[in-house]
Amino acid sequence: MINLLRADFKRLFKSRVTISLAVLYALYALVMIVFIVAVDQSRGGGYGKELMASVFVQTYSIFGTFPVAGCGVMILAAVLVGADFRNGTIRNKLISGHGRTETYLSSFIAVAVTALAFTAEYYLIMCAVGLPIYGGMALSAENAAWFVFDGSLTVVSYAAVATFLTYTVRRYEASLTIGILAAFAMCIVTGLLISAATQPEFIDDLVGWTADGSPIFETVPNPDKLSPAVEKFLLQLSYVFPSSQCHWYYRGGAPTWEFAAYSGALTVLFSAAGAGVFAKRNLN
Amino acid sequence: MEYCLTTYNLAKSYGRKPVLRNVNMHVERGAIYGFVGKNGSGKTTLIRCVTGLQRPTSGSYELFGVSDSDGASARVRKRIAAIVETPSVYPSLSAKDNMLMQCEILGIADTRRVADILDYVGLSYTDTKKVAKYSLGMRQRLGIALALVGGPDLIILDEPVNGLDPQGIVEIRELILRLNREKNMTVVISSHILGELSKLATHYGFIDAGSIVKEISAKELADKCRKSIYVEVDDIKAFSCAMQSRGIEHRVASDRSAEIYGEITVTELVALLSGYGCSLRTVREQDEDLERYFLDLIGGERS
Repeated sequence: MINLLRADFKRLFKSRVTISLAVLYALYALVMIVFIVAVDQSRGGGYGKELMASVFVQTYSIFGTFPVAGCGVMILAAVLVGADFRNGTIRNKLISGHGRTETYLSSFIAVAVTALAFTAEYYLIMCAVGLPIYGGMALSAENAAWFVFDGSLTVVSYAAVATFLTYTVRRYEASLTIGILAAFAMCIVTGLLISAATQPEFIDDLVGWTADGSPIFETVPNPDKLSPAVEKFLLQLSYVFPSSQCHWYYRGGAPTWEFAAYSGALTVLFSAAGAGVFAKRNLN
Repeated sequence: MEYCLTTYNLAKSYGRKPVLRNVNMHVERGAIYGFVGKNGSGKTTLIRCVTGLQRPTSGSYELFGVSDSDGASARVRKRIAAIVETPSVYPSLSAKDNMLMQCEILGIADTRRVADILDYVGLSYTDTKKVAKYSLGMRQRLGIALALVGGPDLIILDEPVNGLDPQGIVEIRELILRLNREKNMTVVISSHILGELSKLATHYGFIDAGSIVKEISAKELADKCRKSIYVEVDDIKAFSCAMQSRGIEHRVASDRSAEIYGEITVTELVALLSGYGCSLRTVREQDEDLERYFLDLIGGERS
């Protein structure tokens, strides 16, 4: 498999798409730093470290909505696997004696490692540029390490889903389109699930207006509040998606062993399923 | 006799549709094996099965004596190379970069051979030109170059001259002959262009409706392809009666023409036909070629 990995990494790093993604990630990190500076200045200063901490965890999605990691991984998978099927070059690997599982896992590892390299790039630029400006961030080294660890597993699970998708769909353009749509769909679904599962118990309901036009609010029970059992179920369901962790981080949530377990399970499940499907597939 | 490739009752179905039926094929070491069949007869499917791109539904095959179910078959696969339908190349890379990529896949550290192989197939002048801009002939040659990277003992070419112009066909043919003669490489070529195969093959395998109908060496084929006399007459019924009266083997080709396989001189023929009121318009000798042999074979008229 070493030979396949070398070949896959070489192809990815030679690809203009990969180079463009690397440039985009760097720009993304720099834009976020500019964002920190702008917001800090608009608040009168002194918020840099808090802003650094909140932006630090935006590697994987922008404000919990735009799935940066998901889209990046889907594009990498299309470049590597989709193009291999389109050009027929996947045949070169199989005819020369490499097994189906070996070929599949090599693609998955190459996509995952390259995606992790992009997130490392983001962290490095954030730290190299942002930390000297603000002298640090409001996040302990231990917590930062947790975010990096958990977030990395999220990226790996994204890679497992993306590899499965591209080996199943096979066509370059179709897998790219479906992959990016899937990344956004996961983001939307997890956003809705988490939102439904974390409704406050009470809300301020507008009940009237004062004589001078000021609104009158009354604290009332939230009609959208679900039962604890349903909330727990929805939360657990949301954890299945890699994008859920991105949402949690954006909402100020902390990484947990639960997240790591779900990422690991998703990775194993999709890799096994994808390798199994590919092993039985007739190739032209 | 050493065989590079042997299949044992190999069968392949897509759903309920059988495409290969009990195929028994034997490719001798050092041969140029012409794999002949109509479009849709199962040539490409068989190639896909023996190259590992698809699993046979039943039956088995051996590569250099190692069964496909053997754990060592992956190692043996390194001794074969194949171009299945179209060359598998990266269009955004140059020929050299494609070759280097193949070296990586095969785990070949010494890349000095890349330049030699490109020179061998006539692509050394391409430099950094991207494969996307290559002609079909150049792509075919690159496909063969990629196949040569691992120094295979057996190379399988699926319709290598399809779509090529006459010059391209000649170039590929000469390349194949050089590979066989200079590098003692066994070559399996599938094609339905029989004229080209007849200039190359040392052995033939004829496939029809998913089954190998016949395997034969070029020498045996030459012996079997007899001379015949082509005639055009004005009364084919009378002609046929005349031939049957003397027990002369013949074949009616149309309502005015026929072929005579028996021994008869032109003088005797004219005299015989005159007796039946049949006039002879045209008479000439001809050799049966591969095309005729194949058509007769799948038509069931020859054995």
